[in-house]
Amino acid sequence: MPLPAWLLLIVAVGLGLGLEVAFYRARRRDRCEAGEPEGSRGGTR
Amino acid sequence: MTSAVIIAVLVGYLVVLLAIGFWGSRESKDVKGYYLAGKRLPSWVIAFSSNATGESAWLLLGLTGMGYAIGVHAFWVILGEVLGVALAWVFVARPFKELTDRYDAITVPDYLTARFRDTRHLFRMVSAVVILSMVMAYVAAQLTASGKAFDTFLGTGYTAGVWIGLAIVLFYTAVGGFKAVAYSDLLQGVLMLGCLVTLPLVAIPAAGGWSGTMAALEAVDPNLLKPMGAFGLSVAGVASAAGFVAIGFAFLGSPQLLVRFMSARDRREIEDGGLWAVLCVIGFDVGAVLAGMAGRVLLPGLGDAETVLPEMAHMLFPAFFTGVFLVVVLAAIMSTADSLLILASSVVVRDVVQNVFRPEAGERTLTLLGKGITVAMGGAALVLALTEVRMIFWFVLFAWSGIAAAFTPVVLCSLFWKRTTRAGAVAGMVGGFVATVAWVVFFKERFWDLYEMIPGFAAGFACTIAVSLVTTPDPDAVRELEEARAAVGPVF
Repeated sequence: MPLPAWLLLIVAVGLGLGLEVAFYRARRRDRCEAGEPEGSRGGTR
Repeated sequence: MTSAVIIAVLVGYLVVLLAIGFWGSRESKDVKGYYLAGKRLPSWVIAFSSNATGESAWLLLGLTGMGYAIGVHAFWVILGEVLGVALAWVFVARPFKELTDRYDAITVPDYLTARFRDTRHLFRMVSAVVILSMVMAYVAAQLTASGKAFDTFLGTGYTAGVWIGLAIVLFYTAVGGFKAVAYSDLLQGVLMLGCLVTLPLVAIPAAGGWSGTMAALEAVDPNLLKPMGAFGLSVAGVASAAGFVAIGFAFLGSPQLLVRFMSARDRREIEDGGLWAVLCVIGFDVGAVLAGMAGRVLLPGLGDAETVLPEMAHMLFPAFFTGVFLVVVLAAIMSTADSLLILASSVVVRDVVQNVFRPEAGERTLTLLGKGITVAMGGAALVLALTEVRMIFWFVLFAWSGIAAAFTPVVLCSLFWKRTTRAGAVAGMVGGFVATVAWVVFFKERFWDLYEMIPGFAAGFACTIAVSLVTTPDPDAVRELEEARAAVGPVF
């Protein structure tokens, strides 16, 4: 597959996935800093 | 023998769906239980359910057909959908969940009514018009796909295929409510993911391996390997790519997807579910496009590109897996049809009957009415599907756009711009919806076939912002929004 097609595919997958992974890591870090155990539930009902 | 194996697989799948319907019925005794599964769903169910609902038969038949017909140019759809799903889970889901819990909202019009202090029920009435008109067309197109799928795989005839598909969806939706819909979506999403990951893994080696497939595509048409396709870097090419990207932005504010966030057990389920959702949509879309591209090599000269998936299933797999592929096509159809039917039912029962005309009606009456409306909407879609037998995926994209353009700009402004007013939001809903319809009827052909969601979103945002700037927001609503945003905290 030509390079421009590879670039488009990488951007197509990487942009959204990178954003979500960054968000997921930030939330895990926040929970660690707050001393929240993995099983507990934050937020509202 | 072949038909017997396919039927056995199909019957096994249907039995599981019916069991889910009975199991979900325990939760559907009141309005909140029927429409939001009592707000008790875990992250992975919400993730698969929202993706399975968003994709429909268009993913399996339409997107594989696009991979077949235009090759790499279809990667723009992947960009839009992956980014749309990620943005929805990262930025929209948490504040939306926070506010809808504060307002005890069950539907998206419920949320808008509370958020903008709409005592005259304008949001409910406009929402009812938009959702009922678009859902009818959307479900009819799914039933059309059901008729074609049953006829292609089992030779049942088109009409019988439509009836069978509708009967199954109606049963578990009406009996089991949102809980059955969400868990059947989970099953259906997993099946779709398995199919779309497996198909290119089998098809590409069969087409000569990765290099062989690409060389064969280059020989058929070099444009199949160019990001801008046959258009090249032109206005038409940019319009086409932008339209494909825009398809994914409906994930940011369509009510049939937003209710998944509302049904979450708590905010942490949303924080955990996003990664599942993004990985799932990557598997869906990359698999579909690559399968279509391999299909172009294996099955050159297909009269209808949208039949490439069933044709490849017949060609590459034994009868048992052909049955599985039929089940997967039905799964895509049903996971969308069920969610749309329950959305339409919720608009009539919760937003029109309970809140406008019969506030005194009891929970049992309303729940029964909701089930009746689900059946009635399915019946109306059946009539449409039986009179319109063409496979009309452009109609699916039109309905997808009509709902998204009416709701997404308004929902985003309501969450992120405290200056948004009630008049602005109503104007945005009407403007986004009318612009979508008007674009298709009057302008689309003259402007490079630009996908209607782009002018729909532009009009929705423009109307919301312009009217909000000349009106005054409710100070209590502004304070509530600030409190909710503070409770959610920053994204990163």
